[in-house]
Amino acid sequence: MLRLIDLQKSYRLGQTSIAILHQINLSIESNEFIALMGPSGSGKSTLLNILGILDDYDQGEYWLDGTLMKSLTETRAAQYRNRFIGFVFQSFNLLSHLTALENVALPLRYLGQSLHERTNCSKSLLTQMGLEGRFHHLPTELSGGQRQRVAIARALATRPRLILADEPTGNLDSSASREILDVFSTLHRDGATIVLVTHDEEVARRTQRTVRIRDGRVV
Amino acid sequence: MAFLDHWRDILVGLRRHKLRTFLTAFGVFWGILMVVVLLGIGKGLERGISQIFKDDAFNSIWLHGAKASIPYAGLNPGRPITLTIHDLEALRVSVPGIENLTPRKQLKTEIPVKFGRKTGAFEIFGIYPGNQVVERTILLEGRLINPLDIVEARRVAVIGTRVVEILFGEGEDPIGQRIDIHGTSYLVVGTFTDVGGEGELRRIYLPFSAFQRSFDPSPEIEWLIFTVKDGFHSYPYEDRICTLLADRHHFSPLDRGALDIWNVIEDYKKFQSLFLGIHVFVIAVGLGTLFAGLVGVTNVMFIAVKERTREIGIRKALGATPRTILNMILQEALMLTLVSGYLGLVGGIGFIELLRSIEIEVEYFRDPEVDLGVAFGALFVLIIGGVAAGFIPARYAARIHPIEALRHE
Ligand SMILES: Nc1ncnc2c1ncn2[C@@H]1O[C@H](COP(=O)(O)OP(=O)(O)O)[C@@H](O)[C@H]1O
Ligand SMILES: [Mg+2]
Repeated sequence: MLRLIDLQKSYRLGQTSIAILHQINLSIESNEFIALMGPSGSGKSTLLNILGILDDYDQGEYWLDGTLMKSLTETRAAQYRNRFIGFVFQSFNLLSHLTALENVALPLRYLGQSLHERTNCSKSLLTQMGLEGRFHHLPTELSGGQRQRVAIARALATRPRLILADEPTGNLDSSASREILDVFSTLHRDGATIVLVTHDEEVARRTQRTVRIRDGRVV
Repeated sequence: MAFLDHWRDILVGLRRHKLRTFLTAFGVFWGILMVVVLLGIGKGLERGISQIFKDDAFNSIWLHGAKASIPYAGLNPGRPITLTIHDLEALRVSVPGIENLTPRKQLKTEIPVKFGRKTGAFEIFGIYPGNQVVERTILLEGRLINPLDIVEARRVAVIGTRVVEILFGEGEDPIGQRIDIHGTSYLVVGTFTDVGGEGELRRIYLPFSAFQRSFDPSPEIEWLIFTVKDGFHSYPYEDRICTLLADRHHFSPLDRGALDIWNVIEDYKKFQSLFLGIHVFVIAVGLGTLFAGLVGVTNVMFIAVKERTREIGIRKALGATPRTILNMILQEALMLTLVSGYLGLVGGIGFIELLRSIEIEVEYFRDPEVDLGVAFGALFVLIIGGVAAGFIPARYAARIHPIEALRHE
């Protein structure tokens, strides 16, 4: 499904450049559920952003579904993000002035679907997430767990191959966290490929495989 | 469709800062309003003044004897100067570029004119055919006075529409009828109208020679009028004529009071440059105001983009292409300018229409109007301006890096 070969990433700070990721080699198969763990600042988010084509890398190769993701134009990158990847963030990143339904429908709009199509699709996803009574609520009118479920529904909207979640339970209490993990487990059982960043061994235990990263290296 | 889709986003974006949006919108509104109102009023002024020039040929010069104002060759000031038909001949031979030269003799008071049992008092003029050119007499039926009428001193008359109304009954054709002017019978050969007002429609024009025979054989004339050929518009007619007539009538060539000279060309030129000036001024002020408004739009959009950096990052993470983002911001800018500009356009047209409807009776002002060209021009400027105003912030937004945007608070 995806493969990283000797992937390297550094940030330029003035004259010096600081390497953040060193020689990352990693393969992820279809329908794997992976926990990405490591101390704060070890480069987890950076790696996830590269996987999500939100960020570039300097050296090495990133193959996604048999295609090399390198030097893409902004437009191509946007199209891959839209069709191949669903992102779930720690801070939800819902658009505050849009309703739950509109938030979920947003990626479908960028896909070019008609209003009718995307409304139907978004409604069924929200229903699947147990939010059938909350279509027209603004994010501020929802609890943290509900917001994250809206965000997951949004990530699933275009039926992407790969779900990337960066500490999705980081801002949630333990019961909401458990709910969200249940959602991910269900998605996995239904065939999704998921990479989930977490600090929590408890969370990692519910995945199939844990990739540990320290100082920008897979250990 | 794509445009409608963005409606909510656009409105939310603009609503987030109501006051700032309002002030910006007001800038554009005011700019357009100014352009439209000023151009409308300019049009009214132009029409008002054009009206004055419409009455008579714009290239005509009118001479009338006045009074000598300085002593000359032992003659006292205050002595009246009266032009004669011989002056006309003198002008014809020695002043270049003259056309439609005509004398005008006029009975001192309105005198009774009869047709059948009907009577009216009208102004009677003895003229050459050129008079009909300088007066811009508009022939309605029949014919005007022609050179043969002068040569043969035919007793024919061309009469104004008021004369027709007063002397002739409903449906009665005046052409070919004989009217009695102060005891002499004249054949009506034509009827005319004129934009110079009611007074001019109460006139009866007769061939100069016939007028002399019937009413006043003296060579004295009230007016001497002519038009100037193309290419002679800058010829110093006042000076030339003054010198010529000063010699003939024994007044000082420096005496500017001896003759009344009305040079329509000079007035017309002044009027034209005045209007060019007004036009340039109006357009400069209007476009300046509008430009300031558009700079305001750029500013507001820029601030809006900065404040929505994170939102733009989220949109990009979800698959919005740079083009999508560019369009979103451009549409916001366009919407802001179009809505406010359109209101300005409507407001401006409304104001001008109001002015028009109350029909203010002021000289030099009539029928203000916003012509279609101005309205479309304004709309065109708005669309171009809106896109231009939005372009810099939109391009900035499109280039925002998603990761940096997502980190933005
Ligand atoms: N834009 C950036 N410029 C410079 N350094 C950065 C930038 N983004 C992240 N870093 C650094 O890269 C390292 C890894 O960051 P990150 O991937 O966010 O870690 P994690 O998610 O594992 O906590 C950190 O040391 C962080 O300071
Ligand atoms: Mg992180």
